[in-house]
Amino acid sequence: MLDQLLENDWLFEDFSARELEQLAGAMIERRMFSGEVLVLEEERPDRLFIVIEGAVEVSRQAEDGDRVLALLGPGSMFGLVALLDRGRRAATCVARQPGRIAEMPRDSFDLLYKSNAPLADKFQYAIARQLARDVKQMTRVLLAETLGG
Amino acid sequence: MAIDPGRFRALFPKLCGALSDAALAPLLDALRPRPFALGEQLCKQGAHSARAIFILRGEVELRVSTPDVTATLGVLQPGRWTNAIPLIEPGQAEFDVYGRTEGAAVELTYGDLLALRRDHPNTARVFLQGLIGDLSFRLRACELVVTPSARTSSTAAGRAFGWLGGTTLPPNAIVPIEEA
Repeated sequence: MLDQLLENDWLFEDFSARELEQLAGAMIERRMFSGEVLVLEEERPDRLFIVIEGAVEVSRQAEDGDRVLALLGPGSMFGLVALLDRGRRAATCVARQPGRIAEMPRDSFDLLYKSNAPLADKFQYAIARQLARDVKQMTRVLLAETLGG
Repeated sequence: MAIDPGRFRALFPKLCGALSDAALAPLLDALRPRPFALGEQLCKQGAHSARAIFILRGEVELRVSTPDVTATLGVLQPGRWTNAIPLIEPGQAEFDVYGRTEGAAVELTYGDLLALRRDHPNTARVFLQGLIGDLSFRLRACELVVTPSARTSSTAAGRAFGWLGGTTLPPNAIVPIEEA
């Protein structure tokens, strides 16, 4: 069951069993295949993803070809930024191993993110934690490229 | 120090949303005054941190060091904040923060944020949405700068990079200031 899989995710460690069940109810779990394009740069976002099993590569088109930005493993949430700022996808995400992925459709995301329910508070904090980690990682890359070291 | 809600709202509109003064009060009560002097270090890169700093008056400078070089990233003016990541997830501070002038800031600690989330969830929700919006912008900015594409003009990248310094700095504004 998806709620039991989410229980092991660092993002949801403070969720109760009931809250995990509710969160899982807003998501669809499915298999992903190696090489499957989950998110395409510049497309309009329609869902959020959580890697349950397997690996997902994040890349972005640059002037000199595709640039890999990150490799995401189980427990990673991705596809957040475009849902939050209503812009286009900033990167392409491709499954690099067969595995399992959970998807939350945009409508469910919007409802949960804007809701006043206790579950929404925890979900919002999980989003903040994921973004904090992503920004930290990207800042490291940025500074290493700009300053070296 | 009592912080005037109107002044805080004017400086940090995204963190206050449409909260009434009464709803904003628990956040203002949780903030701790942090006056600073010219040249004073408010935060040390790499040191454990669990607090964000919100600038009310004066300016602070952000610096970052690598094994080879120390660089200034920019200057934060009133209405900007830094160290939001350790506030959300305590850990190493990303930057050195120094007073560039004498001034005043307020800090919010991870513990106080937890208490705010527990006791005043509506206030915490609005505040967190402001932080999330900023992190989201910052992530896009990093991606634009790291992988400039034909679609990304240098002006857009420079504008996006402004999150670091509180001013609109082009990417090449990361200027080494001394050999480490």
